[in-house]
Amino acid sequence: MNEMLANRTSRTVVVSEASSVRQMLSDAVRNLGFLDVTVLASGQDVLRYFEVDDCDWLILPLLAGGDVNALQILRTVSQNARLHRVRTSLLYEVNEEAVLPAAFQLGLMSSHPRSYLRDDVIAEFKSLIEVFDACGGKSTLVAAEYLRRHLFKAKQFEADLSLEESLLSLFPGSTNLLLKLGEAQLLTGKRKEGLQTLHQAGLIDDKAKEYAEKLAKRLLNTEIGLDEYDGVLQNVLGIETCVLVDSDSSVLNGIKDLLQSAGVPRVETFDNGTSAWEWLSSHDEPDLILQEWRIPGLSGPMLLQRVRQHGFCRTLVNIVSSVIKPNEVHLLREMGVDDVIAKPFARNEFFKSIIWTIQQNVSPTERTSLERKIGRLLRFGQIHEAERLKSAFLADNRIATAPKRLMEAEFAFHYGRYREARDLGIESLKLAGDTLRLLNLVGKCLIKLGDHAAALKFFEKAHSLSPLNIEHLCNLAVCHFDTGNNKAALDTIGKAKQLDVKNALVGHTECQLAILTGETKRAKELMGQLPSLGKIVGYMNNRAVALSRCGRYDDGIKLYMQTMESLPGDWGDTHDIVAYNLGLAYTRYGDLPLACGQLEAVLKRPSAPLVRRAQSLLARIKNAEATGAAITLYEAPPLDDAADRDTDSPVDASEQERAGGNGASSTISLEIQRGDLCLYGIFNLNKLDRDSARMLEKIPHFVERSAIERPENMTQIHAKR
Amino acid sequence: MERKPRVLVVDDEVYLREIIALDLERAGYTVLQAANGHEGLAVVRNEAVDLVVSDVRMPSSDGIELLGKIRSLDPGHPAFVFITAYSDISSNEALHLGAEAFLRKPIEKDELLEVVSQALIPREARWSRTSTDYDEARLIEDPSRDILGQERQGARQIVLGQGGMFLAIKADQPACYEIVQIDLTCPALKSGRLSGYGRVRWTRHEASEGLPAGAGIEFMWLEDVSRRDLVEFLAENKPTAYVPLGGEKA
Repeated sequence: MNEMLANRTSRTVVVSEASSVRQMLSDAVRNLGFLDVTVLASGQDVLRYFEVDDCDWLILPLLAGGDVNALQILRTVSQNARLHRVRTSLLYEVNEEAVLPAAFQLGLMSSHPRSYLRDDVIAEFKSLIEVFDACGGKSTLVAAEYLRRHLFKAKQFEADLSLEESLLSLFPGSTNLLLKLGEAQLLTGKRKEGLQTLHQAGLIDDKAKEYAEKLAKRLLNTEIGLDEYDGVLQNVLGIETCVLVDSDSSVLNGIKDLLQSAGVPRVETFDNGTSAWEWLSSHDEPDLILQEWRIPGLSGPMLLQRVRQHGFCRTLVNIVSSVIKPNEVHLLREMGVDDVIAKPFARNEFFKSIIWTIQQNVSPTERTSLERKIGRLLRFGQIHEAERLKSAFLADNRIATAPKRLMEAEFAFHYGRYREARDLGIESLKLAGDTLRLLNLVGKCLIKLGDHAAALKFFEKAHSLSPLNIEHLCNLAVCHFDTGNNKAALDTIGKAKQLDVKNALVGHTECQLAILTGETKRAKELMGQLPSLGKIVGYMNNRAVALSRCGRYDDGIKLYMQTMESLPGDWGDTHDIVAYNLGLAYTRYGDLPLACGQLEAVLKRPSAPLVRRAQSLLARIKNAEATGAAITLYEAPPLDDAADRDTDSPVDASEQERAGGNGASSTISLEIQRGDLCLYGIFNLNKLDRDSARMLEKIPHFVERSAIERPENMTQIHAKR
Repeated sequence: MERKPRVLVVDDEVYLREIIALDLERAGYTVLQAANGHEGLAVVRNEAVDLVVSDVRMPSSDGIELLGKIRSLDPGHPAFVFITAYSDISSNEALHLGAEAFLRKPIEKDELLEVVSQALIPREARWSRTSTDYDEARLIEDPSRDILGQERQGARQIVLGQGGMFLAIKADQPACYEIVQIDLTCPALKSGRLSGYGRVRWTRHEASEGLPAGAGIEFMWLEDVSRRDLVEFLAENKPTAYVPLGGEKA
């Protein structure tokens, strides 16, 4: 995503103490097509500049004797989120080489022997641009290439080995890095491991095999058949557990062999969907699922939906299939399938797909990968990382406006700003027509906003596009109920049951409908089958609160009663929660004796966490009754779907104060991640060399000026330039 | 009266060949049989054949060799379907060589009949069929304008084949098997445009081995002008690929 050298509009800052050298460097950079060049005379000037202005590429000498040196500047860059985009090239004198590892550790991108000839400088930077392109614009790999050259020259092979290991974990499956790792292992005397790593590189990519053999021959000075080598396997893909589902045993065995050759420690194989689900539902979330679409037993689409419904949203899913019907492809996208591989496939293609999937998950660059990753992060409440990727998504000028509006809408929804989410969604719809994600989102917003009739239209459209999606059917069923069409609601949930009666969401929705339609007997029966009641009680509470909000107190209270009646025999805490909520509703309604009745019932079981709250409320009611004063209720938080998600904790009692999500985006600090700033956090020295330690002793003064823009705005401004 | 479609089944396993033949005959096809590539080629040379269904792995002369020889006789005819087991040949290579579909072993009757009936529909008829599947197809067009509204250079790279095309797509690739709408500049065609719907048969996420990132797209429906132009193009240029792997580095 960082196109700093690919795109010559980068803002470049050139530093040198001597004015003639400054002029020469600036000329050289302009000669390469970078026209926005600022020339500065000292490290102090750089920091002053950074306090107020923006830069993409910083070129400077070490400035060892200066007021502020290059290492201090690198450290400052790494510590200030706004500066993480700065890529630094260091021009070093021969006697300054020792500090290079420390400089790379602090986030340096490239190092160049200092020259005072314009042509030499141009040649150096041209070569940098070539490396940059060869590394696909990933500055982490550029920095690794420059550091590697230095470590080889200095014969610091142990340091190189730790660099390569660390890089591989950030770029899993990269054959190039595997070859480098193998080389580093051989150079540090790890003969067995080295040969094994080179062998694996050859297995993953035919092209790498020849190179690996040459490398082994050159380093060990012997003819070695890598195929014969049998040792401990490197876990190249970083995948611990993989689940394979295919009815064809030759496919299962073939893929299992491939994965094992890539060092995946645990590969579970199943020849049908039913047994795969049995295993999945009783184990931890695997890292990767590879499934054929047409499988016996529980079908591919239904297995996939159960997996996601089960809360397995981190697991990567690749579909391996020879045919998928057009209207089923929608479902793949909706379920966050990472890639689809056409059968039959060759070994190389298989690995390319898997590695692409893993790398897109680690550091997404494709639009759909970014969307998937952001969706995953939001689902798990990793909001900081999600916001960070959102900024990248919004700043990416390859991505059209419609998907960007949709992304903003999804964040607005997440923060509970439903009106804004709906409007953004509709804007996206006007720009580029409907997509399933959009239909679903706008539908959910409309439900939150109480416009059930409009929501119904959106869910109906979504269902017609993706008829196998159970979530659409469940949403649709509830919408039908809300628009007063109980029969359609039951028909729709019936359709969902036909698709997969054991899907958790289907059971849940059927139960909801039974409570809503007052079929308490049926509801009781269904509730008994649910693994947890928290979710359903949460839903009913939100609904009842929403009803009270629009003045339908009686309906709200009726709903609480129906919920209470539907609870199966062993109520426990769940009963207390409903009773407390009912008590609260009565209080709002002003029916204090009934409220007291409910609260006193809660207090009969002193174990529940709600006891304290019930006591407090009861005391306030008694006080109000005694003194005639008004009862103070704490401001209710805005409705959101937090309770829907949060299955086990007590339902959001309206009294509870909760930090609102609104505005969270502007206050988060963008923490640096591995891979954001070249080798920062990837390459770590055990001990700094003496020169570097001395140069880093002082911490120079640096304060971002309040006048400067916020990072989000800056990225947008940059994109428009 | 129209003659029955003639299907040649090539497989060294007699038992499997007979089962396939029986299913096809019952479905109203005339079935010819051959035990290997040599025999198969002889049948194609000497008799009218509309479709070849061939195993990949056979002793003496395999299915890939047979396909190559048939395509050197006529790049567009007869249609060719592979019977494959795991890892015999990759789908994108097979499509490049001129096959258009696959039957997995063990063969299921419904799948066999579906694939065969599809493969027997003549090109122009195939590209004239409408379907509701096209309703929500994603549009792929030339990268005409960037966000500043400035014209971008160049159309997408397209390589045309008998049943589809390679289309270079760097960012925002469609998924495999997705239906896409296309509206592209295509200098190889008379009108200079290619418009219609297609189905993604494979994707290449990243450039590799000299081939650019992109997708193999099978044509589903083409606008009248594009359809006419394409038929003309195929008659003149005779590409052997059904869906090509792609051309020189973009």
